[in-house]
Amino acid sequence: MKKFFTKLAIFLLITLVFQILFLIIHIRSFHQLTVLEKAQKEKVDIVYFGDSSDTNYSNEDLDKRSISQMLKETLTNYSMVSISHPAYEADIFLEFCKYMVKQKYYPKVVIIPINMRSFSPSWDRNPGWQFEKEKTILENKLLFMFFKMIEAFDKNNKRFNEITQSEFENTEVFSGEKAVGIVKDFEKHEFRHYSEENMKNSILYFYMFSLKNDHRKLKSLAEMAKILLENNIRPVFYITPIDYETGERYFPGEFSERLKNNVETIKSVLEENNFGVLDLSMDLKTNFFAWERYPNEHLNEKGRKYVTERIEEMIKSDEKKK
Amino acid sequence: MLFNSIDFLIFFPIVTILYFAIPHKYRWFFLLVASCIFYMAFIPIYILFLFALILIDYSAAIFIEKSEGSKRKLYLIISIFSTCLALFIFKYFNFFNVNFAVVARFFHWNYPIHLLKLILPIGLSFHTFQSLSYVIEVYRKRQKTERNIGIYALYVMFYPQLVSGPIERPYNLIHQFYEKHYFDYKRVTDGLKLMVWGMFKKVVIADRLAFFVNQVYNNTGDYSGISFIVATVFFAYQIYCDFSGYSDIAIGSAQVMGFTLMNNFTRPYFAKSIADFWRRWHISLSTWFRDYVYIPLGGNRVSPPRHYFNLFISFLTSGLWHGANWTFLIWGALNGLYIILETMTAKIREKIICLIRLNKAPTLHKLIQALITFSLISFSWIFFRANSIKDAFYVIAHLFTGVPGLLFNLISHPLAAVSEYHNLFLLGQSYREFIIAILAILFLESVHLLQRKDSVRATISKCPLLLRWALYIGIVLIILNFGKVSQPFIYFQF
Repeated sequence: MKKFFTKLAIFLLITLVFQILFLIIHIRSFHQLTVLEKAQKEKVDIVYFGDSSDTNYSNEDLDKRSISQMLKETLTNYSMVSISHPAYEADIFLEFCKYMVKQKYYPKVVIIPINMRSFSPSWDRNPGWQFEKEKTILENKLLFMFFKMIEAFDKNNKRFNEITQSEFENTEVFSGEKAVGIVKDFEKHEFRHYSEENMKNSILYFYMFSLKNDHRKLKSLAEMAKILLENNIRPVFYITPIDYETGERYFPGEFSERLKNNVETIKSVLEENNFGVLDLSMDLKTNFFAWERYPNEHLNEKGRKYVTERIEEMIKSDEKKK
Repeated sequence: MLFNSIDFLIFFPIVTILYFAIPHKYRWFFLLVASCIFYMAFIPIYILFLFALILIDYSAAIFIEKSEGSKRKLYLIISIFSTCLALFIFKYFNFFNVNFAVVARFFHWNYPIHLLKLILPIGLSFHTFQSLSYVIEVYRKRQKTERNIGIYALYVMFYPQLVSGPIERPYNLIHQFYEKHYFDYKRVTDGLKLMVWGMFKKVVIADRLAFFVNQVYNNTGDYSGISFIVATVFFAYQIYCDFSGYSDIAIGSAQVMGFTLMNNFTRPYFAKSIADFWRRWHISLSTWFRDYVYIPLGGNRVSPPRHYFNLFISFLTSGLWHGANWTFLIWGALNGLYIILETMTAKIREKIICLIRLNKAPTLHKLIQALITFSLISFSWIFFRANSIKDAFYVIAHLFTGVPGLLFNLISHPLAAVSEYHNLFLLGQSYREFIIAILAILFLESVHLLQRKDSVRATISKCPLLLRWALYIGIVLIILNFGKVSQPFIYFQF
């Protein structure tokens, strides 16, 4: 029995060592974190948080640079880095901000896009876009290692499974205050094929919700603003442009009104912290967007240039104020 | 308590260490208490129901042993009836009630449906069949009555096989509770290796494939053709890895403590016929139906029509055992029909094989046989997995939709076809997940190929220490890092 337990202990110890090595490699493969750590070493001035509205482009674009690349080339007085993922949103941006402060990295400016769709259940509740593992790594690497090790044996682990697929599918979808179905009904229409009905349903699903002050992503934005200001980091929040013309075509009058109300809610929450938001939500018409047959916030070359200029103006005007 | 849970990872070593630490005479009692704790992790109050069933069958067996003639039979019938009644109330009452109401509506009778809102006790079908096996064997005088009710309770409740089998026979298991088991290094490590292999099959393969399969079978209207074929083949491996994974962990954990449970699976997808498949799949249940349904009905020692009837009834009841749903009944009936057709056409098929000289190429012949068997079995899994009869027929009706065009494109323009059709294969999952799933299945079948010649554990034990440890550590690391979040075992629902 002694021989068995000795061998078992050695076996477990070696396995644990390899497991820790594996997890370290896993953490190192978190590209955005590596970029941020490099930025800290190089004392980069601006951190740009991006989602798909930063990087997506139209096939017809000659200039396929992302907004962050354009900004980098325009703001020559500053060094800049982009922490981006197509589905990133306020919750993970908040964790990045907390991490920066914890690591004593204080860039001059942090640019944060606010994508209106990220508040809709299609994005907010999507289990694939919760980034639980990334959030845990940013919070505490040892904690991540522990939860990752027991992941396959812990079905009740909410840390890595914040929202299950069935919870997501059963989330109610609202048009304003009125419940119009559950996510499952709307996910069927997504990307299947283009039709007028699918377009209308997708627009309803993505944008026609009525944003409340206590939405978890709004809370994350407010907390982020607070943390950044407390640490003398200038946050630049901007609401990404939306193809409101297409929205209006399917929901005349109603779309713009809902959008304005939701934008006002965001402003009111952030302004509680004496904080301005660059609102670009209704600045651009349909011909500034990349995709015609799917409601989106993805801009073409002209659109991305417009957003770049507006962010640049804001940063430069801040500079003058100083 | 799930085998693939943290609770079990704590429970198992504690129970095993204490089992070897306490004196032999108290071990059975300790195992009984541990089994009760294991069972009560699900719905604690149901333990009382289980005790009641144990008491009935324990008493019935004593009465059977003491009696002669018709009284003996009467006690057997009482025991079978009460056990089956419990099974009926919990598992089948609502099913029969709803279907009776459909018939009543057809005849314009006023029959209000009163459904029972009961949660099925975990493993009910398994431990009731194990109890029935005991009473029947006592009746047949092949098993002595167990006088110690604690030992009999342990026979029914032995935790490794309590909720999903293997369904043991009393003459295999009861005597083992009296034997003194010493800590045997080889047996313990062999048991642990089997548990790890079972865990690999469950969390790396079955739980990964579940994501692909559920996506398609829970949204049948959104898919067709090749997606159904991929999902069905994946389900064939999911259910195999899920259930054989459970059996491996059960057999392995019992082996660590010195108990030998019967083997439940022998590389079923290498079967060369449907009959061969059923000799390799869920062996403890197949042999249960053979011993207690098929043979008592007359087996094959009757006229051919009666023989076919016996086969059909055995498979139909096996389907019903799996669940109170028409999908399971059709699944059982379909397998019954396969076996009947196989028996009926045996001679003709043999002649055709000789005629086309396939018997001259035995390897090719075996491969074709295995492929045909796998296809037929996978087809029957459609009924087993589908959420309803309607869904099953929808899958079958659209099984080959667009497949000829896709195959043509795959052959003529492979790269373009892969880029165009990849979503039909990925079933909503990533390339990474798809590749891991395929590699895991290939690895599994490679191990099965090795097992044809010798036990893999024996082969590995001949390797140098470094290689052996690298293999074991590698498997554990794969489980930890590529295992999917734990899902309940499919057979828990039965």
